Amino acid sequence: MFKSFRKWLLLAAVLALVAAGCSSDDGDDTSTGDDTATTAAPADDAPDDSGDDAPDETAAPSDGGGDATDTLKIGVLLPLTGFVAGPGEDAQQGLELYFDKFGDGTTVEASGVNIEFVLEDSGSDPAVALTSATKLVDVDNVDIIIPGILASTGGAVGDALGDRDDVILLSPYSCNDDFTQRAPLDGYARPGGWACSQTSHAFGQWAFEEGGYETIATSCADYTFGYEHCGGFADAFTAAGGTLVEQIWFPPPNQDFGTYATQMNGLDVDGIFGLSVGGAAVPFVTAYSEFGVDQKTPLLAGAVTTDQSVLRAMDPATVLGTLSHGHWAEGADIPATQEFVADFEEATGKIASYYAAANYAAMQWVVATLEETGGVYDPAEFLEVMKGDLTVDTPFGPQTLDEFGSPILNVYIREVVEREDGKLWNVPIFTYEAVDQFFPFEQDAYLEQPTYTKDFQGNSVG
Amino acid sequence: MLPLTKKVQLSLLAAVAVLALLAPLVADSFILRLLTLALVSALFAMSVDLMAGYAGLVTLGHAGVLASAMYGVGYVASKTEGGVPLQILVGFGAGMTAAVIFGLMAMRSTGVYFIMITIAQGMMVWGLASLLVDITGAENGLLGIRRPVAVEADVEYYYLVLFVVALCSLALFVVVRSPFGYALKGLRGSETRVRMLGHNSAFLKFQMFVTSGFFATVAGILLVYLNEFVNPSDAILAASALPVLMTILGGIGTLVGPFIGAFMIVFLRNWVSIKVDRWPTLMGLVFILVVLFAREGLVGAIRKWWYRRLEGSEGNPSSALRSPEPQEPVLSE
Repeated sequence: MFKSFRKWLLLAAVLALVAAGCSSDDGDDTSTGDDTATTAAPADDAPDDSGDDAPDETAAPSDGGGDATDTLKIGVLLPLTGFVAGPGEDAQQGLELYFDKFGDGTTVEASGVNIEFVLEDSGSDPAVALTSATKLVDVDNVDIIIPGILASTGGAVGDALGDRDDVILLSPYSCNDDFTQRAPLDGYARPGGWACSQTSHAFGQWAFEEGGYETIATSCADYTFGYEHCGGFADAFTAAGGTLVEQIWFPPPNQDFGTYATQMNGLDVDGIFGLSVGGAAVPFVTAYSEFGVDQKTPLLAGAVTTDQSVLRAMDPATVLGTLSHGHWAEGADIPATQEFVADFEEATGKIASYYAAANYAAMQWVVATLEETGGVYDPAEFLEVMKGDLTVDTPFGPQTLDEFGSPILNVYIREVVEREDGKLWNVPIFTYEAVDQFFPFEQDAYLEQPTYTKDFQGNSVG
Repeated sequence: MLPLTKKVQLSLLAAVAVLALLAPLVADSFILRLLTLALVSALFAMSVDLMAGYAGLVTLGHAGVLASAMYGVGYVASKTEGGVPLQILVGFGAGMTAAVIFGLMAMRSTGVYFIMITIAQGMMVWGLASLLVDITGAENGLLGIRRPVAVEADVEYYYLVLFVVALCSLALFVVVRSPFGYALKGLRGSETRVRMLGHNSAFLKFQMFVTSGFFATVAGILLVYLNEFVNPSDAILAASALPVLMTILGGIGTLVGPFIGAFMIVFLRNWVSIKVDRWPTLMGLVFILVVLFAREGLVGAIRKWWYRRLEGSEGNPSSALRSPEPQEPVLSE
């Protein structure tokens, strides 16, 4: 008797938990609840939908730009769980900011087209991302996919959907060089994004020509992004005339940098290019300072090592004054940047990171392209227009796309400084404008050389 | 209430088979993909269950075998001009090579040491996959893997997977009831006694690795054509732990258990996650509840419940059928 009671209690508890999970979802997450809004639904369907379509003015015909009943659906894969969930949250907030600012939170209208988004968890695992992408394409019928943050999920989804004509991929995060270089993916572009070695090329050039560094070592995370980002720096630095003395590699999810700091301490070089990512960035920078490496050799940080997403968690004593670089600089004195940073801070209380800005910029690109096509969405043509001579004034600064769909953008050489209110942010000390993904090399010669790997870090590396 | 006789088991099996055959008629492509993934995961979990459940030797590195097979297929498909037969051959060879090496490494160890060695094996494959950039593409993975043209469509591939998994389940059913299967169960009970009975326990474990590796290899080949992608995350520790969790959730030491566990986890992970943001919390709760209230997994719990009802309704505990203890393997799906 008691036992069967216990079973029922258990069942009730499970059901209650499931119900609780569902209802809180309905309450605070508008993005996943809109499955009922189908593509290109006639306008008179809207009143039938339950609750969430209440403000109906977006469905009203607009000023003759086109038929307001058209819907463009963007499926957004973001890592909301797993080890990159932190950046994933920033990315989600950047996306939501755009829809709050220019629309009603779920829809934005451009040239008579209602743009909606459907958010899905890509986990931090390409296999999960693939399943989520199938759901977005086949169940939600999305027209555009943003394939997550990690390079591996971007590649997996890009490859799986490459031969489909009805959906395109816009990737503001995953930056694998070859997807827009030696092995370009079909139906793929990077509005608001970057190529992994693009920004560090400029940094390498700067370090020799402007920074006055003549010998350098690198200390980078031992995986694809590390190879490409580090390789870009090493290649450009040595091509400009500098000498690469030593390369240290450490596992990407590392917490204890004691041994690596000791190795770095033993080097006699002018500067050390350091790249550590995500949760491993904070202990890297801390160890660099606590083991006294910074007393002897300045750190030249990779694009995401002092990104705002991790800078928030760093101790000013360890990181203040650190030089880094990137296509994002939250302290840049550019109106579009400062407007976005202010809006984002008002909405979330955080200074915007690159992850927040990238989704926002991608949405700007989609809207700008739709305005250019007059509200017509044809996947192939849409991409062509995007890669045309469209310039978009993003929080990153003005951007255009090259013929491969990779952005031509500003690269900022940045310094970590304290804002008036005591918070840390990155302020540019030097800017390379309109940098393409091959800079400073010739496109053809660059495409001849292999992709950066652990074994190939540039032609002039000894 | 019926006792779980052969007849009942067979009719349940037939019902599930009919459902499985008709599923594509009602399922959209997303659900179909989840069903296919669940079937492949179930096969992989069964291969792990042969070791963890039957022989009592928990492996936390079996994704190494799975991933080796995936990389074998992927390498030929993406870096050479090889056709499908060569892809499958190389995939099969890679998976079995990994299984043989794993077996040779671990066949003399037991208990915690066995678990440690298998963790190392899985991590080795992960490490190689991350470092051999020219062969594996490292984090970028291997792109350009395509299903054979004959089973290109999702529905066709589903039926192929269903057929292969059914065949493998049947084979496993035979394996666990063979003298070899009983010897494995003996390992779980007492390795010393198995040796006293004249078995070479190390060789037995090696055979177990090869047998289990065979099914893991088949699962790997099916999985790589399903995802059309492979990268080091297929060999991480979590990928090895997942089939163990599926097995424990469903019912360790049974063949139905891995199926139930695989379906539950795949659908929790991919389908419930659409509705619930905090799905990992939900999954954790399910595990805690199963461990607290259903030690033998869902299969064990259902079986117990069934027999209790049986006793209650007939008021006459039938002696032969009462006990749920002899964990006879039941084939299903």
